[in-house]
Amino acid sequence: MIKRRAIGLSAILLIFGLLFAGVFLLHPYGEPDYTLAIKQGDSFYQRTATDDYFIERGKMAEESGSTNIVAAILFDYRGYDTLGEATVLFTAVAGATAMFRRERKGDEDE
Amino acid sequence: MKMSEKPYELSVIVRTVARLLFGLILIFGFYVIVHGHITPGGGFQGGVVTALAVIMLLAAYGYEGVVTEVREKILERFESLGAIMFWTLGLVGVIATATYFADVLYKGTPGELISAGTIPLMNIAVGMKVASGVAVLVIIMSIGMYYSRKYQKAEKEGAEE
Repeated sequence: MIKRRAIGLSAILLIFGLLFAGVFLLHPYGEPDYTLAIKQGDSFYQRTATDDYFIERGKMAEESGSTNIVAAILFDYRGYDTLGEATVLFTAVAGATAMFRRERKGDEDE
Repeated sequence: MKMSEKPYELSVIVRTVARLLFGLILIFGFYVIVHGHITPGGGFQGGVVTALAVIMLLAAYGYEGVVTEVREKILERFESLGAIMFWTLGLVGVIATATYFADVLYKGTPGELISAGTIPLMNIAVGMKVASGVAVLVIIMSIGMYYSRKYQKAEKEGAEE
């Protein structure tokens, strides 16, 4: 019992250490890869490289072929996000089905 | 006034309007799903509109009336089928260009119904999934309600005897 706990604890510490080490490799918060200062009237606003890519390519509708820029981002550029959303719905349905299912034929007499 | 035979149903006006609107709401939901890549909307929105048609029937006829009639197993199958279809369309991108969810197939002219590669197909997959998923969620909760009421009633009758 104690041995198993020691193994579990060391595994947790190892994973925690690896994840914590990963924090130092992250990009600094609030500093995107590069920002473009775009002039509009008298004021400047900033856009990151990713924003620029999506807006420019999505506007022309030549890369994805979709005139709905939201659909182009949801189902093409950020398909993983949609996959996650679909998984959330699937889990919700699976949970509700497990809780409130119909009684089976033989279950009526206890 | 005499109590009707089915006290859980709403009035005949509501039921008739619900019956008439059922098909129209389904058509509008399918329209939103299929035109997801050229007009506002898409799989999620159209799916919820389609599921609303079923929820409206549930509201008009009462869950007691629906639970005994509906077979939710088919809807569950459709939900899983939508998930598998979406996942497979992602894999099509892997096979064609080595990127998951890459937009392949026929691009066409932007703005036409058959264009934009896999995006409309993914919209259909997600629409199928959301429509049947939300409908199943509501139906399955009314099934739970139905059986809990039934057991409560049975226990009450057992205690009285």
